[in-house]
Amino acid sequence: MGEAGTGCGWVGSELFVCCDDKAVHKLNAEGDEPGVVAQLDAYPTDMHWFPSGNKKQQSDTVAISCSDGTYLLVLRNGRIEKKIDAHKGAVICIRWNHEGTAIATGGEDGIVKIWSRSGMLRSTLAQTDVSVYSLSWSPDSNSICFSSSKDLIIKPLQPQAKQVTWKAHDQTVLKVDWNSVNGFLVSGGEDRKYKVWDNFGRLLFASKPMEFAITSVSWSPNGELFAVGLYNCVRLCDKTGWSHSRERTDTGSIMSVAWTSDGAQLAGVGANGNIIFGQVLDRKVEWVNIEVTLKGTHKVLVHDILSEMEEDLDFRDRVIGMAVGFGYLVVTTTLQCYIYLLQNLNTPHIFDLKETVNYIQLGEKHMAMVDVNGIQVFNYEGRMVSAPKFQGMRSEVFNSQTVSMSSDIIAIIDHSDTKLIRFFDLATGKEAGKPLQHVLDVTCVQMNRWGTSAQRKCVFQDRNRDLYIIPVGSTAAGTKDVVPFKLGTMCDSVMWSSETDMLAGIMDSKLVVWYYPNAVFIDRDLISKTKNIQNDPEYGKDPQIQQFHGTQVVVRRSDGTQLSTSVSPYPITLYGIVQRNMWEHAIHFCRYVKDSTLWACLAVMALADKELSTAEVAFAAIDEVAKLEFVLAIKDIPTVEGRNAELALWRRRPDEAEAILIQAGLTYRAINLNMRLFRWERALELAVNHKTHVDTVLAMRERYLKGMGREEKDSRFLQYKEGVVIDWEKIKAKVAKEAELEAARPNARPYQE
Amino acid sequence: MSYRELRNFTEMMRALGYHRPVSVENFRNPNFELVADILRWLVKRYEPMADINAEVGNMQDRVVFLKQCAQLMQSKGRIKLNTKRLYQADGYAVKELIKIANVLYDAIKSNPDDEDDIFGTDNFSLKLNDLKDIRDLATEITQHGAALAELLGREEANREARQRAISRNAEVGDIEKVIKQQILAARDTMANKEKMMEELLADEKSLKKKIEKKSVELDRNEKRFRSLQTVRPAFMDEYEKLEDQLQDLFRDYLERYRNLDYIDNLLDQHNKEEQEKIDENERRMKKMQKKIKEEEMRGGEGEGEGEGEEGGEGEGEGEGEGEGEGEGEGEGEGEGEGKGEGDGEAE
Repeated sequence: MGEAGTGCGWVGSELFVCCDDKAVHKLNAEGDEPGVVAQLDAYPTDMHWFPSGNKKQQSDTVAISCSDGTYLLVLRNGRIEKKIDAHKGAVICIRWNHEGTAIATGGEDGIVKIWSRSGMLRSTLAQTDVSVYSLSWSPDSNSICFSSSKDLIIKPLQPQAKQVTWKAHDQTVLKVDWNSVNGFLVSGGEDRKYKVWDNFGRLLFASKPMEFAITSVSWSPNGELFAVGLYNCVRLCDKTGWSHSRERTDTGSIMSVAWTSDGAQLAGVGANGNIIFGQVLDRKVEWVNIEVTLKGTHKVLVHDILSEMEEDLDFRDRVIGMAVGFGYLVVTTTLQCYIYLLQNLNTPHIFDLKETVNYIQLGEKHMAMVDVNGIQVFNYEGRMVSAPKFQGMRSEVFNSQTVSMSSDIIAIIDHSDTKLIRFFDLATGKEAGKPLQHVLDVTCVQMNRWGTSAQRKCVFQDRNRDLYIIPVGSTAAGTKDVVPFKLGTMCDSVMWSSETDMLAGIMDSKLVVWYYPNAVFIDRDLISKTKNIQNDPEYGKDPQIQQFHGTQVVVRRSDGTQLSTSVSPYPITLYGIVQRNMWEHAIHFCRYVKDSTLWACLAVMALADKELSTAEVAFAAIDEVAKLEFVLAIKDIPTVEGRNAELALWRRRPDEAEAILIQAGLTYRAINLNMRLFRWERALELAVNHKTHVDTVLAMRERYLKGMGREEKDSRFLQYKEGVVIDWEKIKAKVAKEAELEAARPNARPYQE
Repeated sequence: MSYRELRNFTEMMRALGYHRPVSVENFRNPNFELVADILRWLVKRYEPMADINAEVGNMQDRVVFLKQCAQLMQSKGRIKLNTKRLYQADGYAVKELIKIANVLYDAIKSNPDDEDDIFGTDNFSLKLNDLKDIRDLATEITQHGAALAELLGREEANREARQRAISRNAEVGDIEKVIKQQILAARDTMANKEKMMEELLADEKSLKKKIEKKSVELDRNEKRFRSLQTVRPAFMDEYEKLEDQLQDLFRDYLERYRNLDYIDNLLDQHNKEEQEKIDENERRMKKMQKKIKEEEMRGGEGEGEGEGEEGGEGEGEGEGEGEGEGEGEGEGEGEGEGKGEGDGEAE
C-alpha cells in the first residue's frame, strides 16, 4: 500500500486496514488485496471492529476515528452509516466495549467520551490537558484506562468511583491495551519501553529500552501473549513480559497490531504502508513423556521422549489449538477437530467444528471446548455430551484458571460476578447444586479428578491470594451450608495431581504439597500434619504450576524457566494400597517408611473409611493421644449407628450425627450427644418429643449450671422443672439400663477388626 | 498543529535517522532549539555543502538563520518555507519542516535499497545473527590491509622500473611489431607443446595397455596359485601316516636310548665301586703284607695281634649306626658284623 497504515482489524479471516490515503482496504490472510472497501473524507487515525460475533453472524460495523475530529460507523460493505462530530482536533483512538454496547473515543483535546452504539453522546468521562493517545476498556467494561502524557489513568464509568492514576513511563505513553482474560495491562511509550501492569496498576514487568519508541501493543485474545510494534520491528512477548521472538520488518513504525479471534495469527500495519502477517509457531504442549509442537501452520510434531519416537501430523487447514493429556491429543483446525489416541496416532476421530475453538481443556473421559457460542463438553469419540450455560455467559474469558473439569462436574467462575463459582453436571449440562458465593473475587478454580463423586471437591483462590477448599456435588449435599476452609495464604498457583488426590500449591514462594486434602473434611487438625513444604528452589515472582503428574511437579517461573521438582513417592504408593483396602499392608508400609506425615495421612484415610483399628495404630504413631483415646472409645460402642454418629461428630457434623442416631432409634444416645455438645434446648426438645429422659436432661442441666455458678433462666427448663423430681439414683439406673438395652439390640455388633 | 502531522513527522524523522528521538509532544510548546536543530540537520541532509550560520542565541541570529535556510531550500529544492511559522517553533513549524522531511522520506521510500548508504549510524542496529558476518568482514579487512601494506613496501624497489616504463616513449608501430612477434613465438611454443602433449598421450596410452596386460597376467597367475593351493596331493595321506609312524618310532627310539644311557650309567657306577673295592683290597693287602713282613722280621708272635685289630674295627662301625637310629641297634650291630664278615671274606 502506498500510504501509511494507521489502524487494522480482523473479521474472520479478512483483514481491514485504514490508511493515510483516506481509504479502508480489505485483505485476505494470504496478503492479497481484493480492494478498497470505503473511501473516506478525512484521514483515518484508528479503527476498531464491533466485538466479533460468531462465524455466521460476523461483526459488520467498524468504528473509524478521523483526524478532523469526527468518527465514522462504517458497515462491512463500505457504506458509511454515520458520521459523528466528537472532538476538537483529531480523534486519536476509538474502542468498542466488550459487549458492543458503547464506544469510547479519545481526542487530541485531551477528552475521553463515551458514546452509545448508535453514536449518541453518553458522557464525557475525563478531561485532561494533553492528548489522549490510547485507551482501552477494562475486562468488565466498567472502567477505561487511557494514557495522559506519562501517566496511565483508570477511570471507572460510575462518576462517584475513584480513578487510579500512576506514572507509567518516562516519556509520553503511546499505546495501552487491557486484556479481558487475565486482566493485565500492557503499555508502550516514547521512552522505548513496554511495561506490563495488573489491573491495580502494579508493575509486573518493564522491558529494557528498545531501539525506538513503542508505537503499538496488542494482547492476543487468550491473554497468553502480546505483540509489541516499533520502528521496523515487531516482538512477540509472553504475558509475563519476556519476549518469545523478534522479527525485523521493513515497515517503518508499526502503527497498529491486530490478532485474529483464535489468537493464531496477527497482522500489523506499518508507517510506510507495508503490512505484515504473523503466525504463532513453535507453541508447545507437554504431558508426561509426550511433547507436542506446532511446527508449521498445518503441521504438528508429536515427540515421545521415552521411546524417542517422532511423528509428524499434517492437517488440511490451519492449526489453531492443541491440547494433550490423559492419553489423548486433541488438535483443532479452522474447520475440524481431531482426537488422537496417543498410542495410535494414525486413526483420529474427526468431527466438524461450527466455530473456531479458542480454548480446550481435557479431562479423564471428557473434554471441554470453548468457542464464541459458549462452552461445550465432548467425549473422546467426538460426540457432544452437554453445553453448560448460565445467564450472561461470555465465552472469551474462559481459560485454565476460570474453568476446571473433573470426571463428572465442571466448575466455572462467573465473570459477571467473579465472587460466584458455578458447578455444572457434565452429563446433563445442568447446574449441580447452588453456586458458591465467596466474599471476594475468585481468580482461579481447580476441581480434583481423583476418586468417585463422593470425593469431589474444589480449591479456589481469591483476589487476596488466599486458597480455599470446599466439597462439591454429592459430598456437599448433606450439609446445609458449606463453608470454604482456608488452606493457606499468599498462594501463587495451585494444581491437583493427575493421578491421586494430592494437591500442590506455591505458597509464599514455597512448594507445598497436601498429601491428603480430604483431611479438611475429616479432621482438620491434621491438615498441617499431612502437608509437606519444600522451599529450596528459587521460584521468584508469580510462578505457575504447569504439571503435577506422578511425583513430578513442573513449575514455570515468570521468566519462562521451567523447574521440575519431585515430591515423595510414598503417598502415591499409600493411595494405591488404601484403594485396594489392604489396611494391614498400609500399616506395614508406614512402619517401613517411618514418616509422621505418612502416618497422619494413613490416620485420616482410615478414619474416612471407618477403619478404626488402623486409625488406632496410626494415631499412636503420631503421638495423638487424645484422638487415640477417642478412637478406642468409639471402638467400645456396641452399635454400628452409634459408631457412625461419633465419626460424624469427629467430622464436625453434629446434625448428621443426630440424624443417624434418631433414625436408628437410639434416642438416649441422641439426647446424650446434644448434652455433651451443650445443646441443652435441643436435648430437652428431643427428650420431650420422645417422652423419655426428661429428668435426665434436667438433672444434667442443673448440675452444669451449678458447676458454672449460674441460675436457670431458660423458660422452657423452668416450666418442665416444676413437674419433675430429680432423683439421681433413678437417673443412673435408667442410663445403665439404656446401655444394656443398646448392647442387647439385635443388630448390635461390637467392632471387629 | 494536528496529531496526524506530528505523528507523521516523528515517523519520518525516525526513518531518516535523526540522532535523537522526536516525541509527538515536543512541539506542544515552542521549542526553538529543537526546531533549529532539526532544520539545520534537514538542510544538511538535503545539501551537505550548505554553509549555514550555527548561532541561534539571540533574536537577530535566529532570523538570519531561518532566512538562510529558507533561501537555500528555495534555491536548491524549490521548497518554500514560511519563516514566520518556523520562528513560532510549535506545531505550525512542524508543518514547514514536514515539507523538507517529506521530500527526503519519499526519496528513501522509492529507493529503499540505498537506505544503508544514506543513513547515519543511528538507525543502524545490529542483529545477533549478523555478528558472525561482521566478524568475518573485519578479518577480511585486516587481511586486505596487510596485503596492501606489503605491496606498498615493495614500492621502493619497483618505483624506478615503473618510472622508466612510464618515461619511455613508445611508438605504436614498434609495439605492434613486438606484440606480433610475441604472438608468433607464443604460437610456436604452443604448437610445440601440443605436439609434446600428443606424444605424451600416446605414451600414456601404450603404458596403460601394458599395465592392463600385466595386471591380467597377474590375475591369472594369482588365480592359478589359489587353485593350486586348494588341491591336496594324492600321497598326502600316506605321507601323514608315515609321519605318524615315524613319530612313534622316534618315541621308541628315544625311550630306548634313554634306558640304554641309564643302564650305561649304572654300569659305570658299578664298575667304579668295584674298582674302588679292588683298590682298597689291594691297599689292605699291601699293608698286611708290609706288616707280615715286619713281624716276620721281628719274630713269630705278631699273628694274634693282627686278628684283634680287625675285630675292633668292625665293632666301631656298628656303634656309629646305632647312635643314629636308636632302635635298630641290634640290626646295626648285625650289619656291622656282616660287614666285618664280608671284609673277612674279601680278605
